[in-house]
Amino acid sequence: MNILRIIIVFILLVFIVPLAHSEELPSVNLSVTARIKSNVHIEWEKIPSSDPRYMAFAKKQNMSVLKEGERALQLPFALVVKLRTNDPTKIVKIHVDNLKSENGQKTIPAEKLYISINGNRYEPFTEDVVLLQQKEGNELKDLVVLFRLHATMTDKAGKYSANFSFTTSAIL
Amino acid sequence: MKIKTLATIFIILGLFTRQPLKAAEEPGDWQEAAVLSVTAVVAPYTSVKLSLNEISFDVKGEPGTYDAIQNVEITVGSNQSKWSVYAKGKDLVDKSGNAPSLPSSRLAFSMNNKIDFQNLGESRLVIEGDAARPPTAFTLNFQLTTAWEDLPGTYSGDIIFSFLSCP
Repeated sequence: MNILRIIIVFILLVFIVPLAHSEELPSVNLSVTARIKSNVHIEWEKIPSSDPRYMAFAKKQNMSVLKEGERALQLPFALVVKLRTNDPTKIVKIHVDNLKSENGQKTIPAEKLYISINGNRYEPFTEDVVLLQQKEGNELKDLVVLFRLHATMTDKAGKYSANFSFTTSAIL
Repeated sequence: MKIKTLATIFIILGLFTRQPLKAAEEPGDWQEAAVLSVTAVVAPYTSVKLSLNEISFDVKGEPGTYDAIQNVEITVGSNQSKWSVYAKGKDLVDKSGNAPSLPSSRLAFSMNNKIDFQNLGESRLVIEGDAARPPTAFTLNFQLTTAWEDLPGTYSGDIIFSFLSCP
């Protein structure tokens, strides 16, 4: 009698329970398309020479190599730049125009301006300087950019200013 | 006199002849002559309708949470005693094959413009009901969350709506 009960319970478990689940009907699909565009985040801030970040890197910086007749003038500000991209083909450069006097009559060529990134060795601005290399990408890159002018006797005294700009390009 | 007598006879005869007919109208006197079996098979019926077959996201700015361009209406009707509809996302795969997939947990949905979104990384209950519930349309809102690690490109995948019934 007990064996018969076990057989009945077994039949119920094997056949009836799967029948209950077999009621599941075919599913409906919703297609999803996501288009992600290339994006570069550039955030910058001008900090004065009194800023602790300026002072930290100004102390750390290496001396630039001076040519004969040149004297180095440390510019009293720095740029704090934050960069990030989702595109490994992108690079970000900093570009500077020639320095111009207030009345616009005198200029100092941009090549006389030197740049130091995070206190590293000064490099001349003979061409745009790369701040974000290809494939450096998705981690936030935090930079403090200092400037130094190698002035000569031919450069007239006065108040000069220059425009900085950031450029992005893709290297495929 | 003769006429009156004949009329009386007709009336009496009429009463006698109508009586059996009246008696035959009583239900208790019906006799079963033949049986016609009637079987009505009510098949299980379920309808899950989506107003659109495809949704899309345009991620033009910095990574973050983006709403789908389209909302989708879902309408479910069923004669099952109890039923439910579940949704689950599939990873979004880069069409060029160069970039890693976007995990399905980055897809999320909400019902009827509510602000609490549930991610579709696992199966989520969308609607449940019973046979008495008339088919009603619900609006589904979708979101995709992107990160800086996600490379530019076009990704595609699916959200699967599964119907489950309890007969």
